[in-house]
Amino acid sequence: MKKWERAWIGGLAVLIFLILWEAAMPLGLVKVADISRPSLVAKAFVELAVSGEVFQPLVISLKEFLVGFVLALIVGIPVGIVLGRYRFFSMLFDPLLMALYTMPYLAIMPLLVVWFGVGLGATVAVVFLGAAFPIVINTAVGMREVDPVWVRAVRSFGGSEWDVFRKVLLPGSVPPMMTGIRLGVGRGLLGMVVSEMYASTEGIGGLIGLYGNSFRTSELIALIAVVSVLGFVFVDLMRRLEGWVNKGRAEAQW
Amino acid sequence: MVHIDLRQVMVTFPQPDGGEFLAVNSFDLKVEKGEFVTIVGPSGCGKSTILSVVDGLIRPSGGEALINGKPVTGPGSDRALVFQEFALLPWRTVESNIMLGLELQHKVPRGKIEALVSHYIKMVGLQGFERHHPHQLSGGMRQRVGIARALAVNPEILLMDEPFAALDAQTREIMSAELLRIWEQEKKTVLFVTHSIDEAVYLADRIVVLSGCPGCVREIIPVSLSRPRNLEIKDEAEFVRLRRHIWGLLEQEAQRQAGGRAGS
Amino acid sequence: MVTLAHLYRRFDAPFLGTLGLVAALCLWEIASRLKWADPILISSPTMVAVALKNWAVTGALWRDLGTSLWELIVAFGASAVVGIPLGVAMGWNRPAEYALDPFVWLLYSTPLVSFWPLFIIWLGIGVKAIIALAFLFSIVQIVINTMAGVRNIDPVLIRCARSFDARTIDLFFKFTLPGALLMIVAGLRLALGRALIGVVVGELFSANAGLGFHISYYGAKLRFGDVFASLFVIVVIGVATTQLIRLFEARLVSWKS
Repeated sequence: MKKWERAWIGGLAVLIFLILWEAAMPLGLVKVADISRPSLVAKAFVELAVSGEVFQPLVISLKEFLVGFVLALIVGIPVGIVLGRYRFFSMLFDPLLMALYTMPYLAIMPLLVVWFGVGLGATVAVVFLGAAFPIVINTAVGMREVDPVWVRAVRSFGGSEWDVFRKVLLPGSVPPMMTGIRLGVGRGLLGMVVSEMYASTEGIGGLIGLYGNSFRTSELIALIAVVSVLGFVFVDLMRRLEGWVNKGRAEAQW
Repeated sequence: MVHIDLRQVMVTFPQPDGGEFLAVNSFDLKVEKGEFVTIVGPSGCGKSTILSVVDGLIRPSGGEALINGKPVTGPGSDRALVFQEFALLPWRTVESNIMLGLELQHKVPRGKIEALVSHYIKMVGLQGFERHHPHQLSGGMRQRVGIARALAVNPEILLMDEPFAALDAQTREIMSAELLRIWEQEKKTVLFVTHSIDEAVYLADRIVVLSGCPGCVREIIPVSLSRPRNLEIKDEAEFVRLRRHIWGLLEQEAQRQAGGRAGS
Repeated sequence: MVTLAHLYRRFDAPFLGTLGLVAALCLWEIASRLKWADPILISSPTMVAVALKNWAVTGALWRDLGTSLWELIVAFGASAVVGIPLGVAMGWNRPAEYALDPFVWLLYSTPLVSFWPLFIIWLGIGVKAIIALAFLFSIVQIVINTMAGVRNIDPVLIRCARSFDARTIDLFFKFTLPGALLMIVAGLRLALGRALIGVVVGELFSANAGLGFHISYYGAKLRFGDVFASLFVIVVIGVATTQLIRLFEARLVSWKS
């Protein structure tokens, strides 16, 4: 019974929320503009799905996201390793990186649109920018914070620099690296939607902008739900991956 | 006069898989008023659980725990607990940590708290550190704060849950001598849990030796060493005999826990 | 010579860090001057400086800065006022946590900017919608941090409180709240950064004043010096406000040193 407490209380809360929402407009509980109703949103969702209108933008969005994100991994992890491994480089680049990291990457949208073109280019660029920074920084921090006792252990057994790197630093920095990747996913997705809403009429963000401009609240909320689920699936996937990596490690220590 | 009376105390904890874990099985002990009793035994023998039962933090699943003949229903101001982890509030100063128990029990008026606190600061030898925070203190000093905090509420019974286990060996010796000095002044009833045989013998009027099975008493050993005691007493023949005897009782279990083979 | 080497060894981190920053700026300037890339598209540090100066001289900078700061303060303040009690409730009370959990996690993983068109429909284009977006960006972080802070209090301290037979109100005000304070303030610091992003993005989409508006306005005119000037001001605000909270954090943990 205790095991299910979280599920049923949470489910009940969501149910109550939906009922209140459904009843709010007909009963005149809200004075603001159109907040739609769950039933209308569900209908809009089914219509969007049946007509297939939502799928092509979704595919475009996913493609843009994945290209940007994979690029961020390919660039971010090696850069993070170099910065974490070599004090010289980290001292040289840390302030520059931090300055760029504090800059809201979403704010340079107008520049990206001009540099990389509306659509695929700008979106890939903003996803890349959003995801790369946390990956670089967390990887570097992870390499630096590996327990020096392990390094001493490998050295004392006559291990080479390469051994230290391969057997201690690299595996030791995986958990923070995973945290960086998870943060990168969230920032990348946000960048994707912002870019599509700002500049292009393509992708799921473009569709949201389209229905927003025509004040079709039900379709709009249905699309927000799609984006929410997308975000939730990605973040949850990363969280599971992270938990799985960490769990494997906790057990491996015994 | 019997102060603490534990009768057939049994404690079980529910397990996530639906089963039950037996932590203490039918434990009997009577402690006299003003007596210093130590409980010694291997890890996981239910020592700390027994202490929690007396403190009222854990309700026994079977049997009963009586204080002055009345059943324990929950924590009360007649008992105070000293923690292995010190359990000091890191954002409070030494002074205000010692005040904590008095504040929480709302029994002593505000105006009188300060005098009480400075009295106990003096007793545990922390003058000059009143405004320090726990982070600035050594382990031994932190536990002095823990002891002062417990004494400040003027309990009849002092419950000590491996209070010196987190300290280094030398500090431990000094702290147990300090504890005896304070106890000679205050004459509280003390129930002291430890896994150090040395500590158990050095401090106790009686030693309860537990064995591996949860809460099973192997033997209750009266200690006839004279009081007041100082650290030299550890060289006396009687002390050495008691220590050897208890080690004999615990060796098998200790060997098993250390991963060695029992016996020779 | 010996002393120079010694000085270098002692201050190598700030020295190299400054070098890195300066080198990057020089590289940017040179790339622009020698037309390695179109100067209109990449601008240059001197162009940015000039743009910044003109922006300040005309007084428009102060108007834009004031607008953005006002939106930031209102959104952040409101999210703290609502978010901290919510987080405390979730950390303190299991059923409250279970009930609110689905909403918080959904909001946490949703790209929140997708709510923007809804805010426009409800609140109209302008300051209100921008504040709503920034509020949403900010509150999620505050709730999550506050909840974690309240939840993650050292169990030994709880045992100590129970052993002293503490009243619930004492447990809350003497143990839980001070124990969670650091996490709450750290949450506020992160939330402030998120609120700033919310303000800038909202202004980017639709505004007639503010730093984000400055970016989109001059971005459309391809005057990238002005765009970078605005980015610079945004970074300054972000760093300054974050540092302010960090100072406060340092005072809070004065007991640690």
